[in-house]
Amino acid sequence: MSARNWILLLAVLCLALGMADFAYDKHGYFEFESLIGFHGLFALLIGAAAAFVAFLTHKLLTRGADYYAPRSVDAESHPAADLERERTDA
Amino acid sequence: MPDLLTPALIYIVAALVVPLVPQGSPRQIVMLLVPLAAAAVFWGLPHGTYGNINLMGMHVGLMRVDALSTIFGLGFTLAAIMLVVYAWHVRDTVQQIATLLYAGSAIGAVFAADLITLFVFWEGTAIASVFLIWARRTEGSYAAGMRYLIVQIGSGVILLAGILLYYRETGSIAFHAMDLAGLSTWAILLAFGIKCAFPLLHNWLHDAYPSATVTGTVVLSAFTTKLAIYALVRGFPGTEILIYIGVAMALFPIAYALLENDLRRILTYALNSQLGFMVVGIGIGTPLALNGAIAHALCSIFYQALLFMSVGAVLFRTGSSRASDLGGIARYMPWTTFFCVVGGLSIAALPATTGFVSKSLILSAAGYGGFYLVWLALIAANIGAVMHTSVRLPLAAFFGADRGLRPKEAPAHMLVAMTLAAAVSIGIGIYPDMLYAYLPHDVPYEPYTFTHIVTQLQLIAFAALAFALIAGVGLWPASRAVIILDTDWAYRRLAAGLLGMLSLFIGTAWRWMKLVAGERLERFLDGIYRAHGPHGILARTWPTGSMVLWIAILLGTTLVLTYV
Repeated sequence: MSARNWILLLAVLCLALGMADFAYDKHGYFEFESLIGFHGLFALLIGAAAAFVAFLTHKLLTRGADYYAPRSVDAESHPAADLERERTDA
Repeated sequence: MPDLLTPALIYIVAALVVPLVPQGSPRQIVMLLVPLAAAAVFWGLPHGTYGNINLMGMHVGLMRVDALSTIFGLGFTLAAIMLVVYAWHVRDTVQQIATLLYAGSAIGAVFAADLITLFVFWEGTAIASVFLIWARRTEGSYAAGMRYLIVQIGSGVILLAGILLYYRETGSIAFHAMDLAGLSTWAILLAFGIKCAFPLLHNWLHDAYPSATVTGTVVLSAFTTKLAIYALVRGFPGTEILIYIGVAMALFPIAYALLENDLRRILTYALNSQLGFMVVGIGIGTPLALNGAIAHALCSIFYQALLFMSVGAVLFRTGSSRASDLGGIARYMPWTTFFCVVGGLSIAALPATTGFVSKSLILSAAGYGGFYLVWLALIAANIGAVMHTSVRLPLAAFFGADRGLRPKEAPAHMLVAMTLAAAVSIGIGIYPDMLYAYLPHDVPYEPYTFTHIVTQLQLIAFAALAFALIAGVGLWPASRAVIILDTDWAYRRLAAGLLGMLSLFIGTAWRWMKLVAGERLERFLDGIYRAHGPHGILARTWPTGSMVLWIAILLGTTLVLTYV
């Protein structure tokens, strides 16, 4: 299945879950929770905000993997003695 | 003979014996029996304090058996069994001894009835665990291990200072609930906070854990931070400041986890965020909230270990845990993929997983307490967890673009260990009473209400959709071999740069002073040489008659001046 279809499937699932709010009596801790679609919209909002913060963080704080080298493992290869790199027979 | 009853003693003795057992299955079987033997020490004992010793007038209790210590002891025991199975292939004696001493110290600490015993095992965890980082045996891991050791020993030193002050203030070293009334308890809280990776004290976690060996990272993920959570539950329940620290802890790692290239570091940020949930629960301090913090600490041992184990298995087979190197291996490592997804769903708190039944306790406590901003922040942190660990991590490792990797499935023992962790994660999720029955506070709680299930599913599905939409329109940065600077830049680069400049300044000043002083000294010595040297005025040979003449002139002059 293509990525586009996965997103469509997810959107349909979200729609169904959002519609579920009409079908039952919600018992939350706070009054604002009883708003229709609150949790879904909040998730979308926070998701967008997190992506925006991540975008800013990426722009400001990204450095090459060897930035702290050689006093960091980021640019090192993992030692072969600790690995068992077997390939599949397929 | 003093009573030395503590489960830690079993681990310590085993660490001495294990090197004498032949490598391979015999040694691994012995290591597997150690947690079981240690659990037999405390399991079933009536509540009370054992291993009582009078130390210079102070009461030391090596083993306090109560509901809190028992449930953490049980959790650590199960974790130790799981980790020994996962590391069945390891033939490195250093790692094997370090694992035993580390697990033993952590279990010894949770049973400590007094602060001195806690301190000894606290330092034990620090010293034993650093060998799991150094066991990678590279320059980078050596440096990371040194930084880790400095921070962890620093935490121990601050704890010791706090204990000494506390003893002076109260005359007691008993480890029980404290309030932040003086410097002593602030110092103790700071020591706990370092090990718990409070914001700005957290860098050791993201620096050290990904620097360890394949199995070392998994072992590290199970004990240190959970021990800190135990210590906070025991020492500072209901301390309000912890609510706000916990909220910050839950939120700040999200952006890092969304961007990091190293999958093991993504998991350390996810772990840091989950610790925030627990710290909030401790800060709220109601019986429901404390049950939540304890339950979430125990559950996170297993689902975090499951995630670290699955990424470790990928590293073990492909040689990399970097998102930029991985992708498209789900069809070659289907079981590992499945276990990673289970761990991801558990951290997302999907109904029928441990995350759901443990996080719910904390969220409900925040809700019942009227902490609506805290509740919203924790919900936001959960949305973040869905995005970075439930969706991004499996996508990057297993489902992304095919990079030509054709790894073999993880070895059988790793799959067995992951099965154990997944079974706990799902088993407790389906039958939460298995966990709730052991929690210290008797608070009836039902996580599976219709509202709770539907709203949680909405949060997870919409968070996944948010990620998919952002990634789908190409706004998500592609995985590249980069790092994201964290606040450790302040001491790894800024402070190092400032110290370098200071060193240069002091070096230059010292050389200038040496030059000036040298010139002055040379001139002084030249002067002395001119006066006292072989041709100096004071070294000349004077005739005796001349000397007598001058003395006569001086005496005559004095006589004349006296009578004038």
